[in-house]
This record gives sequence, C-alpha cells and structure tokens, in this order.
Amino acid sequence: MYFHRRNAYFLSKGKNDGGCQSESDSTEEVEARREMVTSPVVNTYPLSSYTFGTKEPKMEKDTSVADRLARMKVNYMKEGMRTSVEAILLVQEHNHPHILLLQIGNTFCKLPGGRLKPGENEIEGLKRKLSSKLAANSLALQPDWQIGECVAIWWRPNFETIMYPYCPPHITKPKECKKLFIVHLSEREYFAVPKNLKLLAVPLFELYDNVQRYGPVISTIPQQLSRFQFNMMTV
Amino acid sequence: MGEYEWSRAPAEIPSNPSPLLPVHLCHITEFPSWTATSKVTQHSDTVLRHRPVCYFASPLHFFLSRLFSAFPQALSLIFRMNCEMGSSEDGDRSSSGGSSNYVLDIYPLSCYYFGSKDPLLLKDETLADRVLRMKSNYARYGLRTCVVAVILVELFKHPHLLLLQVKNSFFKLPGGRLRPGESEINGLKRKLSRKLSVNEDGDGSDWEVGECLGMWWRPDFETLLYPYLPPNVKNPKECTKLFLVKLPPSRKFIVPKNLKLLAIPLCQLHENDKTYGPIIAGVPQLLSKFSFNIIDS
Repeated sequence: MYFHRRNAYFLSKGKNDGGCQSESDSTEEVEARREMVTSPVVNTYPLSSYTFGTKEPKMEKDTSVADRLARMKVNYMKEGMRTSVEAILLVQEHNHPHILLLQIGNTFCKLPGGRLKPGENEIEGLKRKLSSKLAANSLALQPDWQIGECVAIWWRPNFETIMYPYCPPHITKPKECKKLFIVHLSEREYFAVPKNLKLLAVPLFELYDNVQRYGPVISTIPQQLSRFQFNMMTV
Repeated sequence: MGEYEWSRAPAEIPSNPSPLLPVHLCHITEFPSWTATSKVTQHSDTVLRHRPVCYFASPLHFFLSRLFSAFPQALSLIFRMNCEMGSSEDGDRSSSGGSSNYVLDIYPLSCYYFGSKDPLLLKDETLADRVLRMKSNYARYGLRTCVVAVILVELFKHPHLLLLQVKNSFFKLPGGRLRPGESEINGLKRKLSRKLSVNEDGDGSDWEVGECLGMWWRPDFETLLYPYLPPNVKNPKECTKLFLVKLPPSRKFIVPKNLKLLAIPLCQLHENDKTYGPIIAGVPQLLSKFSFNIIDS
C-alpha cells in the first residue's frame, strides 16, 4: 500500500486527466480519498500551444516610482482608494507551472493587470486590462478570458511602495487594494504583446523566495497556488 | 510574576504605531499575577468580559513591558474600536462588484477559555534520529502527510493566529502526521483534539475543518519544504497541508502542560521566516483573500 500513488495526482500528465486512479484500491483508500478535501484544478498547457505576436508599444504612465506615487495621490484625492486587479496566467514547461510576467526595461516585472475605473466590476475590469495588455487589436482575435478565483489581496497603507497581505492594524484608509486572480487559459490562445514589453514565462521555483528580483507580491505566488492541483496537459 | 500598570490612553492614535506583539495565553491552573480586579477595572468590560481567565500571562514580563512602552495606544483602540472601524472605512475597503466573497467570522479572544492537561509525550530525538525514523516510516507507509490547522481569533481588531510553542523554542501549527489510511479531515480533527482539547480520541465532532489553504512538499528527507513539487521530483517524502479551522463563538482549549499556546497577530508573522519558519510566516498571505468579519457580541 503506497501512499505516494494516491498523492501523485497533483502532477498528472495527460489529456483531461482529472486525477490518478490506482487499479487496486482498498476500500479504506477509496473511503479515505472521498474524505479528502478536493483541491481546485487548473489545467496548464505547454507554452508551445500558444502563439505570441506583437502590437504597438504601450508606454508606462510614470517614468519613476516617485512620479507613480504622486499620481496615485492625485487619483486618491479624486476617486478614493485605488483598486487594482492582476492576473496569474499559467502555462507548463517540463511539467512545472510557469507564470506569465510582463517585463519592462531590463529588470522590472509585473503581472498583467491594472487599475479599475471607479465603480467598475473586478472581473470586467480585469478582462479589459488583459485585453489591453495581451490581446491583439483585431476583434476576431480577442481571447475569451476565463477569470478564476481570487488567490490573494494586498493592501497599500500609505503612498509608499510597501504593501501587506492584510490591512495593517490602525489603518482605516488604505490607499490601494490589489487583488490577484487566477486566469484559466484554454488550449490555444493568441497573445499580442506591446513592442516595448517582454513576456516571460517564469517557473514557480524561480519565483519562490526571490523577493529581491520579483518583489513580495510576485515572489509569494507559489505559496498562494500551492493548494491547487495542476494538470499538466500535453498537446 | 511581575506587576504592571495600564497606561492612560492618549488622545490620539499616531499614524505609525508599533506593531502588535504576540499574546501568550495562560493556563487556568496557573493563577496569573493580575486578574479582572483592581488594576484592570477600567477595561474589564471590553477586554476581560467578566471572565476569570486572563489572556496575557505576566511571566512574559518582556512582552508586556514592550507592549506597553511601545504601544500604549492599544488601549485607546479598545475604546475607539466602534468609531474608527465605522462604515465610512468599510466603504473605502469594500470592493466594487466583489467576486471575492471569502468572508471569515472570527471572535474575540475573550470568548475562549484556556486550561491545561497532562503533558504530551514529545519525541526527544536528534536530527539524525529523526531522519532515520522518517526513512523507516517512508519505507513502510510511503509519503508522509501532515495536516495542520490555521485557527484565528480577534484581538485589537486584528486577526491573531493560534500557535503552539514547544520548549520555548520552535513554533508549530496545531496538527500532525496522518495515520496510514486516515483521511485528512479525520486526521486533523484527531490531532486537534489531542493537542487542544480534553478528549484524546473523541469523535472530533467539535472541530469544523474548512478549506485547504496551502501545501508544502519535502522532496527528500533532509531537505527544506517548498510550496510546490520541485520539477523532476517523483517521490516526495512529505507533504504538509494547511487547513482553515473555523471556531465557534466560544469554546474551551485544554492544552498539554508542556506546550504553550500563543495568539500571534498576523502583522507579526508576515515576512518573519526567521522566527516562525516559512510555513507559519506565510500564513498571512494564504489568508489575504479573506475578509475578516469580527463578531463582537
């Protein structure tokens, strides 16, 4: 009776294989599996299953961190707390999940997403941002973004770069709330990346414990995703 | 056992108060140096709720002296709880068109009772012995699955995580290893009853186990834990799963004498891998999508 067989379903390879079923399961094992808390499933496809094109550049609105914080302050005075939404898009390479990140310049990486308009619905806003950053301009090639669950929420207490995964005690007027959503990609997609940005597929093991390179929000995504079951699909 | 004084609440809450510090929950058998009497009458209604059990163990002189020298504003918070966390702030913090509807009810620490029971037999072994034991268990039973509970209470309007401390050194989440063939939920209930309740092998019906928050994998016996299965690792040796456990409005915690139960604020855990290790220090992030509904009876 080997238990690794039962838990090996976490990385199962194959088309639409929801889980691993051993042939000779004792009734105990079957009973026990029923009592297991089932993990939410994410199908991840190889990078090769997607097509990447380019489109016109999309420049950042701010040229420096100081500018960005100043603009945030102006917006806060007009519209109150900023809500931003970001997408975790996953692909698989070598049977390991990779996240799609947009790289600006040579170093700074960010998740696709952005600020919601006042009163805008989160899901609609995220779809809008994803199309703006990653979809081709032609209407025929718009992906049907499947926005999944929210996996993390980060709070910005002041007009500073630091953010926390909770609203710090005594902070009654946070300046920004950032929500990360998992996005389920289908088997084939066409992405168009602005010419001035690079799209990277970064493995989870590269992000983990790498705060210096990716910052606290992105480097902790592996932990947020640890409860998911990834189906490594092949094409 | 030291004495201390509650300082008078200042008029204003500063913009950058010090972080909240861990709270050590004492046992009923040890009569703490202060109770709901003279020194704390001004707060007895809000903090102690007329219960004979106290929340702060005064042997931790250090914590208390730090708490009150660095953070006397905590007291003003208790009085200002209602007005500061009012509806205008809720308006700021609530999302428009919320799809993330993870709401967690948490109750004040004052709703819970804490007592003690006989010490738990802990395996006192060297690291090398432990590795040998894990290897022989792996050979017999395969992957070792551990299940641990994330249990939250409220204090100072901030969620606090319940942690067990062993021998004044390392911290752990309540839980432990599953028996061969045991389901995760039953196993966790069994472990919680053993560590936090009177019934060792009770029916476990008094624990409400919620969703799985995260998982950590150990690729080899002597390696670290990772929040993913590293590529090319076909036979991981251990998997630790964290589950959210929801508390009822009141209950009794009975803790073995040789373990300490603490309530640590999330802000103290965040990024504090050095003190608590990556699993516990990462709990605030795993909880970030939840919005805490503090139920103040």
